[in-house]
Amino acid sequence: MKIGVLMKQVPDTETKIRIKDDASGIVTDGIKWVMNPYDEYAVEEALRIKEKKAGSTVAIISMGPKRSVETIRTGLAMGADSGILIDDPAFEGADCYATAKVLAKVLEPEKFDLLLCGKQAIDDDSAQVPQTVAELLGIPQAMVIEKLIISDDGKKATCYRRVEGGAKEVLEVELPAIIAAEKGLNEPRYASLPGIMKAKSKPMKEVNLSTLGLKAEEVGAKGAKLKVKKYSLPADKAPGKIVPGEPEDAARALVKMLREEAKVV
Amino acid sequence: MANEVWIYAEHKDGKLKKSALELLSGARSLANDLGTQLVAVTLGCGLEAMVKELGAYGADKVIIAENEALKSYLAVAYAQTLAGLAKQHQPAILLGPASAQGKDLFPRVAAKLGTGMASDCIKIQLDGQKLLSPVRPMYAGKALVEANIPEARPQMATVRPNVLAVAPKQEGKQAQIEKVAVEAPKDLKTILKEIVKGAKETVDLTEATIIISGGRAMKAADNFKILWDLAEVFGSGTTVGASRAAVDSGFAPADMQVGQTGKVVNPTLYIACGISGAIQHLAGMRTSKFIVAINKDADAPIFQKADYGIVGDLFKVVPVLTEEVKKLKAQD
Amino acid sequence: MIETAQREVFGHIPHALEIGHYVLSVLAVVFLAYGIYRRFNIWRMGKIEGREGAFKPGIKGMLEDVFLLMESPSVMSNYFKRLWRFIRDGALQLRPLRELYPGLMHILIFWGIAILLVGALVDAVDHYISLFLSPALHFNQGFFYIGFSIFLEFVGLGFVLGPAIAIFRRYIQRPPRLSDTKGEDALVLGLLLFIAVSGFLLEGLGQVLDQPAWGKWSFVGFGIASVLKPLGFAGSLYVPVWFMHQVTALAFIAIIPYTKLFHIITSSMTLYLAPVDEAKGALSTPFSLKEMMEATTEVQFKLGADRIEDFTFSQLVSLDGCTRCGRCQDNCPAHLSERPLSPKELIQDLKTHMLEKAKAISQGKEAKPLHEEAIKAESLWACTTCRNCIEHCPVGIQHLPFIMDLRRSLVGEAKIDHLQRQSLMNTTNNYNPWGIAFSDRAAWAADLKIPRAAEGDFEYLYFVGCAGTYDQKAQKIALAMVKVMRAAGIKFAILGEQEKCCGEWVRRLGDEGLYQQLVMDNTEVMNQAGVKKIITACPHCFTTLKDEYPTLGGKYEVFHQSQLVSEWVRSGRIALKKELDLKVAYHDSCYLGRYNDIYEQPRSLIQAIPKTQLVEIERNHNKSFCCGAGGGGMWAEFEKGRKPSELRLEMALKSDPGMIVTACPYCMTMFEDAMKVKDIEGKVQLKDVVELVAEHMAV
Repeated sequence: MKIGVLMKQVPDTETKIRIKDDASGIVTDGIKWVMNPYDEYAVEEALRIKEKKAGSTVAIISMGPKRSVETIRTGLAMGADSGILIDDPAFEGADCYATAKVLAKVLEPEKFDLLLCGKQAIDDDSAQVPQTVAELLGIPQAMVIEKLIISDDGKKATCYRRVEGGAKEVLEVELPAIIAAEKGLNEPRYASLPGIMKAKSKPMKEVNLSTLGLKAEEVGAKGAKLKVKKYSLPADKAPGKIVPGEPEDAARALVKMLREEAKVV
Repeated sequence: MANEVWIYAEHKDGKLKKSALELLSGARSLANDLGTQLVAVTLGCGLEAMVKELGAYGADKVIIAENEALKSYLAVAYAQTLAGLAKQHQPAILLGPASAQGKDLFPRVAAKLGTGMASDCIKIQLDGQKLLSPVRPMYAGKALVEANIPEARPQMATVRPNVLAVAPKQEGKQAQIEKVAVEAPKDLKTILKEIVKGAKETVDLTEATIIISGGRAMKAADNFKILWDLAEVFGSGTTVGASRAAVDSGFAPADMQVGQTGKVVNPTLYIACGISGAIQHLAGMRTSKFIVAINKDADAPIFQKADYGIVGDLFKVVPVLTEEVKKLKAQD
Repeated sequence: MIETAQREVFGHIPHALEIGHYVLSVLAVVFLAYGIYRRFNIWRMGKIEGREGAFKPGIKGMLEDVFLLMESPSVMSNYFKRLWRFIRDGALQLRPLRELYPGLMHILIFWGIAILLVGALVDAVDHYISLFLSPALHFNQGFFYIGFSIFLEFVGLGFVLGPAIAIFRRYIQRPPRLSDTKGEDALVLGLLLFIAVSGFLLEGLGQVLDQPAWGKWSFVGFGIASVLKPLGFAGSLYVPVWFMHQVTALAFIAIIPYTKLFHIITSSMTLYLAPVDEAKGALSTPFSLKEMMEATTEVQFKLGADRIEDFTFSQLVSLDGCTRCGRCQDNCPAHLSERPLSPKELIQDLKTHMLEKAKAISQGKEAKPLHEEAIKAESLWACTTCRNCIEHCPVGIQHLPFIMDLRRSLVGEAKIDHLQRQSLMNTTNNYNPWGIAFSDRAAWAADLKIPRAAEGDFEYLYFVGCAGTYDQKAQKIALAMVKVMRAAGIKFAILGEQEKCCGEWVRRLGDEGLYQQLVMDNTEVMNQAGVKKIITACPHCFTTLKDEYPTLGGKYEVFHQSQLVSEWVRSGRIALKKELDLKVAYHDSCYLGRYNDIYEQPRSLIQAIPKTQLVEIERNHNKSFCCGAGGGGMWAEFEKGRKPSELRLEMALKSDPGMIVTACPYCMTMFEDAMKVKDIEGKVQLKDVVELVAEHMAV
């Protein structure tokens, strides 16, 4: 099987987000860039399928600035065979639609039998790109998948999709399809640094606006349908407080606070 | 009529989801400001009875797209139908819930319509140009972004459930109901084989939205029952965890352990009962969105991480919590 | 009469038997030499400086390798240190004697054989020089002969006693560590006892025949003679017993390389070959990440060991050096807490695998893989790297480098569990094992106005470590140390947000790449800031900064805080005035104690507090029992066995302390958990030694 994994480089989850003075985006200095955690499951799943199906290949496809190469290499060190970096200044500022458009353009000629990705990127948290790519490529989708079985003939995939209340929808999709990984799909393997260095020798293709034959107006910020107006920081979380009173009274007060202040109950 | 405000009314097991009412309540003012109709759209078959109350929550019109093939939800099928309706009616705004279904469906509909969409919004509003200008969280809520869709139509967004308040029901108000027999969607390449119901007790710690954890101060394995009782009243998505000391003491099985050497959890609400909050435990739960600590020792490190704390005997506190939450849930 | 006292060599022995004896002797030596040769070929499977490991038996290859070994720095260096160690631990048997009972048993056998061999040699030399050179040179007679005989008589008695004790211990007492008794144990012990007893018997029979006037000086022989003499036929037994004695003695020599007796040679070699570095805890550096990063072409490297050939010649020798004495496992915290590791079995399994692999290769067959087949990963992960095995091995086997290289290859193949991966990923992304934001690294010191090394004028850099930074319990230790340093008038700085995990546990978990990345980052910052002296809060940071950073470009004078604080107290810079009327038990951290021989400084601090009574926990000083956190244990859960921390706490509680004091934040965390489980939190206090000082100093 020819498997493609859509992967995004994102700031580590612990990153303290700061907003630029003009509210146009976040400050990227001092950020530790990592592989989107949900994409790790996708890479791992691709590798497990590859290990089961002889002759399979896994390609990591990532759209982002040059630094994304490092993260693609992590995927290669985990065991993927090749990488595609989609990088062009014109791609900056894309919304999900403009991103998906470029991805679809890259993916179409590659004719992957299976596309895997994470259910969402933990930076913009949009969770739109996989479905949009699926639609643009005219292939089915299976989102938020925590168990995946590929049929022996490689033509179908049985996907366990997590929905509310702990229920699961069992979907059978014809391949090629896009399958988006949820936490718990597997336990991703570790890529050690020497392995990442070694992965330098694996093939890495770079594509840009001109190699894809796209126009600058249809991609990036210009091609975006959803235009960002401004970024802001949420209100600071209130400092912790001790609920006073006798245990029973405090308990009553606590439930009230959880409902009315915290809105978590 | 073009330029309407549409909301997608999700239903499950023959019942409307609460999100439909929330969306109607939130979108009513948008429709008013735009001087247009508020329309609820729903897909499936045999839905007339179900949609009757939508008028009372603000819908001017309800469109039921009916076909036997839409009986159960499938992304490709629903996207074809919903996009088809939108193309035909040209609404200005199309809102949906950021539920499992809405998150799955809406991006595909937006792609079909070649329009933009804002995911998981926590605020929906119009800006000065009367464009939908929703606010949505990014970076797991560490930043907010306001955006709009200046050109493409409809302006699409999914809204996080439980964010919009449901307006009071206006008894007697009826919506015009328009039943459309739509074509069966085709070329699906997807089959829904079955829906496996989630059993309450199988909620994994890493998936739970509410976790109640017990520490060494639980004193005995049997006492964990009071935590399970509390979990029970919170309802689905709630489970019980334990600290390493509780597990090492044999009060709870190892798979209930939360912490660096157990499970790393990320629930909306974490209630730590009799847990001091050693680093090895904090490492596993510190990213919980809301932390409550109940401990006798006022100096326990857990209080420094907690949003709310009660200094007191957990055996006195927890049963009252259970009672109070039960009351609250009964009112809902 | 005494002047003429002597014994005729080959007396009463027919000439044919004498010749037969020579033939058998030659045969024994041939057997011995062949056995050594064969094994030497197998050891040569290992790496030798200058070449990779491979199995290429043959005389030519052996000679080449001998030359390589002669040039190899790890073999040919520190002769005097090695020689001294060889004499002290080998010849004088001081290391085996650390355990009196088995040590005495062994010394009786060891010195028995050695001295009796010298006795035989004296006989032989005397015999041949008087035979071939001149009868005038005959010296083994008269007073010398009598004196020597009496001495040998005692030695001989010991040589009977030694195997007898060994047999009693192995077959009747059966201590758990000798649970793997094999057939060869019976053979060897039986042989030894037979040689010893038959020697005396022979002496007695000789006296029956000769009835020498000086016979009573050989008192055992004399006694036997007096018992046997009344039996008329006793004299006729002399020749057959002589023959059997000779044959068994020669058999003993011949079977050396084929039985556990081989340890006579291999343990000696192991003892000689064991490293003599000052930095005893430092691990090898298999590659340079920096070079790898800078290289434009692909760098070839091997991550640890996944084949027996990936170990060194010296390491393979040491596998044969193991005598299965079991002292390692008797001191191993993993073994004693019933986790799936015995250092003895690990070494024996590696040895078995080495022999099987050599056999398989020479038969052109596929050998079974090292990982999982020969060595189970769970055994490797059970190790806490506490060094007790190495510390107590009487022959100097280095267990840890085996475990480390095996772990390295597991990490290279991503064969780690999700908890290990999580801690490594956390450290990759946020430079601490808990994964707390690196931007919060200086939050613990937010209100303390401690200068940053990058800006300041300072003498010491205080390297706080991940625990002191993020763990609220360990933060108290760091805060106490700041208080103490200020009281002592020390000019110090911290790295603040620029500090990263020292990487010690990362390296010991087997992730050499991430370790070197952390070292590169830390040394870059420290070198830029002009750091010369470092104080660490944690013995783990201490060990790696002191012993391992230098080979990777970070050369500093490194102190553990307990060292300096004890010096300040000793010199009066800090006065401990406040009383503490309490029994305080001190727990030795592995990385402070066995790794760095720091035992007394922390104790001196406890003793310096007025009224405080220092009590020892069983297994203290170099026998200290690990808390279980080392070697990545802090980030692991084990399905099997008990928690070492709970066992250790039980030991500590036996000394009935009011307070347990440690000098390591890892031990602190482990004790804290164990105390919760034992429900003694609040009843027995738990503190770091520097916290204790901060609380009792006169300000």
